[in-house]
Amino acid sequence: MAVTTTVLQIEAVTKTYGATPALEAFSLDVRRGEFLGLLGPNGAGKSTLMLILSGFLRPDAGKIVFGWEGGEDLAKARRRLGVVPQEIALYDDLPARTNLRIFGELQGLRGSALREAVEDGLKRARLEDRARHPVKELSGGMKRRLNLAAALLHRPEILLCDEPTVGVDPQARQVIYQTLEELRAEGMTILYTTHYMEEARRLCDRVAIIDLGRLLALGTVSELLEMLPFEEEMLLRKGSLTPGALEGLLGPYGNLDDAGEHLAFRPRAGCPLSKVFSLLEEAGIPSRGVTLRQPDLETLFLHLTGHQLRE
Amino acid sequence: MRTVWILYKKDLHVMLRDRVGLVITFLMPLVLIYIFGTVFGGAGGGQTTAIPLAVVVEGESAATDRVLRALEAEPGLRVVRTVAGVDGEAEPLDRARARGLLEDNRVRHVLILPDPLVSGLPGQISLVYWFNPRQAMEGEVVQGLLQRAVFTQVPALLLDNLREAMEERFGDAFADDFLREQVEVASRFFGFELEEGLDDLREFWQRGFSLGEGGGEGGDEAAGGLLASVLDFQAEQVVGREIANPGPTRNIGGWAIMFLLFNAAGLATILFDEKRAGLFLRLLSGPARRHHILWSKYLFGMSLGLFQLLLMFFIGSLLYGIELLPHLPKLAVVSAVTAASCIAFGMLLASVSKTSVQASGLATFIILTMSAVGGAWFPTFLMPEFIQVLSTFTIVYWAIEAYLLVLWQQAGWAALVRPLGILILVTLAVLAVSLWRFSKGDLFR
Repeated sequence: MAVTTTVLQIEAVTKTYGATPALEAFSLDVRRGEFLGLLGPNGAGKSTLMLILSGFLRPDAGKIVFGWEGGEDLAKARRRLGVVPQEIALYDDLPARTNLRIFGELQGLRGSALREAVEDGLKRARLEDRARHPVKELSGGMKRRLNLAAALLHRPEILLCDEPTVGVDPQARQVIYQTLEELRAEGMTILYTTHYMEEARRLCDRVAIIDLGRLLALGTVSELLEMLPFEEEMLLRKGSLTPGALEGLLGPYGNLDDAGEHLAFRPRAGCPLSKVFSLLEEAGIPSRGVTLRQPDLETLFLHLTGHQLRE
Repeated sequence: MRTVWILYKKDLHVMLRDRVGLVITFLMPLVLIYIFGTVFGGAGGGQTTAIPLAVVVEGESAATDRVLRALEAEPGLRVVRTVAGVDGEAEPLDRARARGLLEDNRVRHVLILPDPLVSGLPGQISLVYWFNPRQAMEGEVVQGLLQRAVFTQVPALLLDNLREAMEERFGDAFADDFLREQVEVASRFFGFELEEGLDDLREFWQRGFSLGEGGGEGGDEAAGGLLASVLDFQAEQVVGREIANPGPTRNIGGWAIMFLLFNAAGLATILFDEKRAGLFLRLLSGPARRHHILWSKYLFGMSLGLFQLLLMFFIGSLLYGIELLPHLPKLAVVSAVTAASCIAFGMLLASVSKTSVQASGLATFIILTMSAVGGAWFPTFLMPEFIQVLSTFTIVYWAIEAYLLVLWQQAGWAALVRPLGILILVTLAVLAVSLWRFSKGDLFR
């Protein structure tokens, strides 16, 4: 699939809250039809970027250009954007169908187009049989699905999803994933913030890793993982091992981090794991307590920032 | 405008879905008018509860009887002369017991009639008044009632005292000679028959000083005795004579505006609730703009407030006979302008607050202060002068003024120009500040 047209250009966008920078000269190109994940911990600046893109916040500096005629006019762009806020942004006391109707009307839909959009939204949210139920009577997962459906009524070209699966049970999460995958298959461009690497891995064509308002890395998952200087990391079961002694033994060859029940050793570039095994053997550490693991985005994040994704 | 209309319809829809809220919305005006009407005497035909007055009588005499009769005839006072003793028997009040009642807050006013009540010549009346100023206004009222009940008896008491002293010192014969001398002089000057005038004066001498048996409502009757012969006192009510129920008619404007101010506070907190729910983000990421959200909220709050007020007036007319129909167009206009200004204050509250809690707290403060100072609770004439000046800076004052003009004075449109003009100007100013604050404040961030 050749996806090359840029549908959204974010150029050196800066935003600060008081003295706290939320985004620092942040730049990013989004390609038409791609599913781009923004991966970062809480406070990384993901939601601020979403608020700016959706027109709710103004950047202090920088530029946002959409890839269509008159793409610098953010007011006009709003009709071509769909926003799924982090919160359940629905009228709690109103039925699911009425909520969709109101948001559809506000998007300029009328008559049969509105009716079709509402029914389609209910179908997408798997809520046809709950259409008359007030939102407050729906489960958390149902609300999340409806929250997503409300953003799709006017068939936006770009969908901005700000952590749409927060607080959702695994089953409902699967439904949301399926809906998003359907939308991607339909050619919709999706910008998706998350701090779940599993989501990023499953859904995203490309992932932008963000921390402290800066873009640290951008690419497909495999491209990103290639940035790591090792192909596998070594997990040493703690047991009777002394971290201090191990640090002294393995420190010159890579980084040793606490990973719960294990100590994770990530070799430096050019250091073969066979060398590490030899060192451990010489130190009398049995190899049965050692396992090898493929690195993931969490590993990459740790490698890039020095701290965990979920800290 | 279409966006405003859609959002307006949404608010209506939300309101109609909330059945309990709906009942409260429409029941509240009814309950409020009932409570306030009752408090201010609407249900009791304008009568207030009589204030207990403990009276200590230290010596029985014709003068104390006269004063007691006047006090007992005063409808605003309930005379208490006894207190239950240790054995449960009623015992007459003395100073010590009366002081005890005062200290225990069982009564707040004590009047002592010492022995003798009237002494010396031409006579000096001694009265002792003890009070507990727990309710300042009540003290003022009681003193007013005492003035009406007792002080109007003063001339009669003094003349009775003088007659008794003369008869005691010189005998009945002197009194008759004294009268004859007076009438002879008068008949020479005014040319009436001596015997005819003498009979009148004899009758007056014997009866005339036994003035009005009652005070209070009988104050006018009291004036029919000696006081009436020397003072022709005629009271005339110029405004509101024909109003069936003056209490609620006078006060309903104040209740209405307080009601609206609470509505405005609710509006301010709803804005924050919608923001917290992420609804503003959803709305603003679409074609809706801030001003659409704000105007839809404003118009909805205003029309709901207006509807509730008219309902409140309608119930008021049914329950308390507040005359409504002849004033309906003016009432609707005054209510619309009042609603517009109160809801504008709600917008201002939301625009200067950072959170719903802040807005709510600020609203409570403003509602209480503005209602009290503006005269929604008590007439402003009872307030210190500077508060009276301050009150003219509140919308409550001008709204009450407008309602009084319509309902009490039954004034024409021209008279309404000033209060309504001020309210409209204030509304515009408050809205302008609110819109400016919304662009700077935290609601849309």
